[in-house]
Amino acid sequence: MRLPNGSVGLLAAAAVLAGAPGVEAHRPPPGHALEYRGERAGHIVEVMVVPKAPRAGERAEVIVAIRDESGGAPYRGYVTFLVAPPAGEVGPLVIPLEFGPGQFESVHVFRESGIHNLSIVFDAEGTEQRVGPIPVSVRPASRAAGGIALALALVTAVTYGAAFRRSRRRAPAGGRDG
Amino acid sequence: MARGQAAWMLPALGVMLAVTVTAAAAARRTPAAAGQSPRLDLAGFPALGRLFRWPPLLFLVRLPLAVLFVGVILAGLLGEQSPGRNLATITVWTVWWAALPFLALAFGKLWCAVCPWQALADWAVRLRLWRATDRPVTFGLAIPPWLRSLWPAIVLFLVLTWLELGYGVTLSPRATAYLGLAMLFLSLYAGLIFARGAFCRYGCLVGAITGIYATFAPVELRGRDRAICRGCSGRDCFYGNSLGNPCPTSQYLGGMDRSSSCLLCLECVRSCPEDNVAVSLRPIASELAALPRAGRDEAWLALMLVGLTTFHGFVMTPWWGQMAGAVEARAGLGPIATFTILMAAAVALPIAAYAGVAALARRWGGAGADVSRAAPFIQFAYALLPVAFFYHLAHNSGHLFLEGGALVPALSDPLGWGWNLFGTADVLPGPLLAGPGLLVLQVACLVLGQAYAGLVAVRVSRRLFRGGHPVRALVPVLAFSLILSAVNLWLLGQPMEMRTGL
Repeated sequence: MRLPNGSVGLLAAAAVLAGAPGVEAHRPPPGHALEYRGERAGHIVEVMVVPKAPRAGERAEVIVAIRDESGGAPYRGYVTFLVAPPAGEVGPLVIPLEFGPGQFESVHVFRESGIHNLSIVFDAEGTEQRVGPIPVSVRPASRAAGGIALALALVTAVTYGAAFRRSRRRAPAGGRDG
Repeated sequence: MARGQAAWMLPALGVMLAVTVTAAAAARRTPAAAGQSPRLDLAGFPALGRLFRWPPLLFLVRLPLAVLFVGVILAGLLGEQSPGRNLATITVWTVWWAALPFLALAFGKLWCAVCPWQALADWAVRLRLWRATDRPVTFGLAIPPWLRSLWPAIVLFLVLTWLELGYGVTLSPRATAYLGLAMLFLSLYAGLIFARGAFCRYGCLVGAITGIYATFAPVELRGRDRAICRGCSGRDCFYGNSLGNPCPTSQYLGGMDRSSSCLLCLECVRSCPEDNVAVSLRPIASELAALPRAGRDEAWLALMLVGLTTFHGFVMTPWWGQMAGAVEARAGLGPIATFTILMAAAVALPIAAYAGVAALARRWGGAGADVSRAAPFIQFAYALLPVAFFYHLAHNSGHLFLEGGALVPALSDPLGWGWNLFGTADVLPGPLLAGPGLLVLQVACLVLGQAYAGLVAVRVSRRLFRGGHPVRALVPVLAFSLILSAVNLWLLGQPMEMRTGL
């Protein structure tokens, strides 16, 4: 039996790997994100929240890029995202994932509408640095899903009633209904 | 590629190549039409046979799952909207959805037998908890011919993948609850309108996926003696009787040779007057290796799984964020539109490439007009199914082993309201398996998938190109499967975003 050309797989994998690093860093298009820029302890901190005004109960992305103010070198260290709901205590978001050098992202579901205060915490010069609070305006949850669910429940109830009356009228099928 | 990843990836690729060639060579030496592999009929053991025929059996298994399903819906609608603390998101996405391919590997379509939304729909339509009914609450309409395929389920699968990865339903307990209600609505409404389990057979994406994966499972339900089935005038397995409901997916045991439509609900075990139904253990993947009838819709499902499983893994890596960001920035699109376009490409591109591979195989196979243009496209798709299935297992094992422990605190505080029902609200077990151990397991999955791909590809090639050049036809198919496995292998080495952010 002739051997399949296994090098094709290797070449393809190499092509995938070679092509990937050229891709640019994640940055939403202008106007799609709430943007904030701050400076702390020799670091520039850029914060984006996508979408700009998230809805309660729906996902939002928090993207943070931290770099050195002088050389532009990406920050290498731990970052924590904190959020304070309108009438609640400050709590951490899901642990951010480092999506690129100095670029951290976290997905968050804001639970209630109103102004939430977002803060970014990182270490520099041996001390904790905090950027923010950044006010994020969260819109009320969409009521569309609840309305659709109620409408479907109503349709099902009406259909069930009709099917029930019909099934009681007809003779027993003896199982041969289909 | 990082040096650490190259250290294990290149040897793993070498092993994959070796097992592909070995499996292909082994399959070449065996007869093209595989004979019946050994079976162990569990229903033949008196105690198990009685258990399978015991009417309340299925109800007793379904009941706790139905209660859990209702609990998940309530937790999603009323509980704290935090994906890492709410029972709905953890149960559905971190545990159930991640474990589903493992369940299919071990038990085939057993999930369909115990499925909670279908259980609720069945109880409502039959107005019986376990006994057979002769007057189901339904209009009993015949399913229109255009709906009689897996395409409704395939479309729903695409929609779910979009909701899961694009919309982020896995992060929203409320959206997860609405999704559960949608499945309940679809199964109940289909039951009210159409005869039998129309949704189970044609519409349920979970059933479609577990159905095609059931070709690997070591469990099957068949007629024990086909001659007895042929001599049976009543066909009670199909029509039902006072002991068992009609087969929900309209299977007739005398002609059933596939597991993809059998829900393992055991209605036929109860209704068969001849006690002629075997519930058997069989060798893993024996149904796939025996090359069952190939269905066009099933082949498309297999191909979509190839693209979507890889896409699923890619979306959770840092590369996705960079690629999506670049597309968003250059095209000026929003995240949802960007995701939709990239997902469409992720499904279409592998299928387009595969169409070229199948055409090349047909040409090199030299079968001429004896083999239709569609035949290699449809049949070789089954050779790619193991690549998708075992990558699905490898990827999901990461979620299951790393994040599955989140279920422990969530059960104690299902709504995220600060309860501590079982005293485990503050207990977060560490990963069940992590680091090199997990990686070895994941790589082993891919190697196994590639071995099965080689085995099935050889059998398909020998069947299709009997009078031509089956070995030549094989080359592009095996090379393509190796490319897919190499990409999946690379994905395993990437940092992976978890569902609950643990």
